[in-house]
Amino acid sequence: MEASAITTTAREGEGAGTGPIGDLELAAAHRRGDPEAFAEVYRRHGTTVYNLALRMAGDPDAAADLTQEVFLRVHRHLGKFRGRSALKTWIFRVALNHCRSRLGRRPRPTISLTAAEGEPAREVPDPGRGPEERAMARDEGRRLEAALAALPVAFREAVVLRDVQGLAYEEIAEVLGVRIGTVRSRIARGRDRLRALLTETET
Amino acid sequence: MNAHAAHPTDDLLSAYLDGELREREARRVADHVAACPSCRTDLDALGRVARALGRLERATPPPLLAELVERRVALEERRPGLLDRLESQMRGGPIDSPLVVSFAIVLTLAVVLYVFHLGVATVEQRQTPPARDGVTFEVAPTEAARELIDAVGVRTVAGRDFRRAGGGWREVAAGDRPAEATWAAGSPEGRELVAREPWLDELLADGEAVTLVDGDRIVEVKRAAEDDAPGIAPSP
Repeated sequence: MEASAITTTAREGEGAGTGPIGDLELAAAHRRGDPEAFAEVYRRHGTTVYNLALRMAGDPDAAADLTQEVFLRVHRHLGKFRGRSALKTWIFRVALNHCRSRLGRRPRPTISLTAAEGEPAREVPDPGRGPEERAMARDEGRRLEAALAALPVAFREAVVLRDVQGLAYEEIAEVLGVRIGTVRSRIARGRDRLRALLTETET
Repeated sequence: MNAHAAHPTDDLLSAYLDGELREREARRVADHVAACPSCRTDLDALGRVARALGRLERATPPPLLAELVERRVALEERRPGLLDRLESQMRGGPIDSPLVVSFAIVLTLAVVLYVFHLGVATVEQRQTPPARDGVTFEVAPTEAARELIDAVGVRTVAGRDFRRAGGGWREVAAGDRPAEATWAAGSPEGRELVAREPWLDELLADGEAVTLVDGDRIVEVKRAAEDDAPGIAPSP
């Protein structure tokens, strides 16, 4: 059997300092039927898509379902990827389109803003902070997740792409297919609503 | 100039926070904030929200997720490409053999009834009032049901689902919401949209119009390059 170009390149890359295989090459390999190409795409973007889905759906089970469905679509359409944008942008786009249509159809899980218990908080552990500070950060994380889930989808996706995924406005505009001015306004309004929601629950 | 004369909007403050303003604009906001306690408070509050979001931990996907994705992909690959072939027939324009059409319809109906029988999907049958398309099936959005919809008149372009509507295509996510703006593909707005979403060409080549979700709005693009088609101003 012919060796996969992807694994070969990846192995070469480790020792010989060759750059990672590019997006277009992955798409071309997928078109040729190399199963390693899609596996590599999942390795590179799986965790990111899961996190995006998690912040959009607010629920780990829904996020796992959404991630599977998104990658099924990526698998179907990867061969048609022509590199007009980065593959990451393209996948974000597929993922958000899918999240939008799925989340629009089913009721969002109701998360109490005040009594956000059960789910373990997902703040970054910071060894420099004491138990009290860590508990406060955990509480903040829970309240933030709940507030995020209460945002309208258009604001939520803009804020998540910016503050959770760290994309630049231009990239967000490309992912969402809107103008930069719209991105700016959605991020500002999203943050403003989050601020209001979090202030409400503080009292 | 009085720095308090014009407070920067939330949009500007938020973009300033992200370093997304041009130098001159950023300087103006910085000067204003330095002299205006109320804007400084707003900026701090926005910054606190942004930083808190940035501190949310990157979650690790469940260990089985990669395997589930792999299995679902393998399952789709193993299935004989009937659905794909039907889809490509629909993409490829006119189907030349009436036999193929009859076969496709009979088979699709058989599969729909089978799925219904299994209770995999809740299929609700109702007659649409104008009865243009005959019978409409409302299918619960299970993956199996979605594939059936794909086979009977829905296509996915750039990861977005479109359903046949009249002589054109309507994005499934748009639901029944009416279009807020209608543009000819040749109008400046239409051209801008097609430039942003190049895959629209593919749909327009196979339909008179495409209705889609564009950000917050539903917009319709018409293929006919009517010069007199009024470009309806997008709502704010």
